[in-house]
Amino acid sequence: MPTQAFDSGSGRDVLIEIDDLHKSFGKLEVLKGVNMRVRKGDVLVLIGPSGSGKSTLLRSVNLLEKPTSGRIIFEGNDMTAAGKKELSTLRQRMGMVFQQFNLFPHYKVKDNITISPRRVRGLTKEDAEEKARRLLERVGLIDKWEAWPQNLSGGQRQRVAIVRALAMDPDVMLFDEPTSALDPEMVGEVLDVMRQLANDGMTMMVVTHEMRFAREVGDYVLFMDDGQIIEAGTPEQLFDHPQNKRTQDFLRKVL
Amino acid sequence: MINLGKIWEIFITKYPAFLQGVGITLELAFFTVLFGSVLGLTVAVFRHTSIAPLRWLMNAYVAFIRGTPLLVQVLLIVYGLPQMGVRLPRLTMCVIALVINCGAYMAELIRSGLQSVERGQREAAESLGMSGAQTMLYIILPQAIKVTLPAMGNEFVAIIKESSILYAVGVYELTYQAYKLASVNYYYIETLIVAALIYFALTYAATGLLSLLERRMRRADTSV
Ligand SMILES: Nc1ncnc2c1ncn2[C@@H]1O[C@H](COP(=O)(O)OP(=O)(O)OP(=O)(O)O)[C@@H](O)[C@H]1O
Ligand SMILES: [Mg+2]
Repeated sequence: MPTQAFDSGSGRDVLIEIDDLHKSFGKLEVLKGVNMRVRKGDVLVLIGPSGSGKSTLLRSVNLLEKPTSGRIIFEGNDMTAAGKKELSTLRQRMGMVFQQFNLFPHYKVKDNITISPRRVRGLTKEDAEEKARRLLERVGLIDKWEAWPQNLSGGQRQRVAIVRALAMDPDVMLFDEPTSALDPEMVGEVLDVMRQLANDGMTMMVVTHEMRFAREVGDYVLFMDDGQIIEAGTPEQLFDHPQNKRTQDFLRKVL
Repeated sequence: MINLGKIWEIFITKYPAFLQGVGITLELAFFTVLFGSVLGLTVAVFRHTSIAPLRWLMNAYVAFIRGTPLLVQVLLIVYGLPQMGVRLPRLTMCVIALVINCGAYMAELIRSGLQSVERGQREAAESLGMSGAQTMLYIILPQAIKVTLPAMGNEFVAIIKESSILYAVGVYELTYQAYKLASVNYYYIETLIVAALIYFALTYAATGLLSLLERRMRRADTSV
């Protein structure tokens, strides 16, 4: 099975280049050579069966997982060769949103959002809070400014987590199944925020099982299986005319 | 036979001595927990460092202290330091010995506190560009300390009791006071019962106070 190399190829700047990425956990080879480019403004949706390596790929992009071999080039910088300090600097420009939200339980909403802008980027309290307020208003949660994360619903927590990432002014946002831990009635409010973000031109890599979201919001959909990108294309191409047998089987099961 | 009336009489007539003992015992426990926590915290953090020799040193310290009797450690410090030419008040040397001992246990407590913080917390912090030190300082440690606080409080209670072995090196804490009185009045049982009751009152009160604080903290947790 030849590995697909994905590139939307639309002439915009390349933000992230993933170059022959391999990742093993002990003997288990989870990523078997992934090649792709993320260009400015791309909204890429990764789909695929459980265990196919979607999370591992996403987490490798900001080096939460250290690749076994291959390279991640982000805005011209080799993440895989970066020292600790450079890595922290590069990560500031990559927001990440987790399935389990991972809000800091010992900080109020406002401090969850402002801690990194203040401590990492050195913004003043006033500047960081002004920006946090603006972002919270955009996701309709300004009334939760003083709230503790424990007192928010899942959907509210995830919106705060998105705001927390946005407060660092990232150039790209990584989403790892942002709605999978949510009660069904809360999925919509999080997807709305993501849709809005995509419309504003944010570059996004999204791992999700929400096929409707993938179709509506994704510029391109990438199907992963067994540690490789098997097939990629526009939502119409991939959902309506899948070429690969494995893609067809997967879609038959989930659609 | 035990003379019950005598217990009361000893307490009433000799209470200044007991009070002095209580003062020293509480002082010992307070400073031991205070500095012991700082030491334990430092050790716990450095056990995570990437500098291997430092890590080994910290692990060896914890293992050695936990694997040897407190009394031996106290004797080593109290008689060892002067032999090496270090002249300090005896009470200070005792605090040093207790702090060194307590630090190792605190380091263990804090270590399990650190392990109880979910992996996602570190990942979220790192994804926001925090350095390892910032992640530890702002995200991991505060949460670890919070879950460790009750156990650290218990350590305070434990030291109130364990510091009684310092009678062996002649520090005027509660046990020494009782022992000294008894060796004069020959009412060993009665005098030591007074001491025991005072210890019990102290630990009972300390335990109650700590669980009150704990409940307060937990309530603060869920308030907006
Ligand atoms: N830290 C780890 N240690 C060992 N194995 C791991 C680790 N992380 C992931 N794996 C394994 O790697 C494989 C791919 O995992 P990954 O989480 O990337 O899949 P996924 O496509 O995101 O699946 P899902 O849809 O269930 O989230 C799985 O077999 C998983 O058990
Ligand atoms: Mg996953």
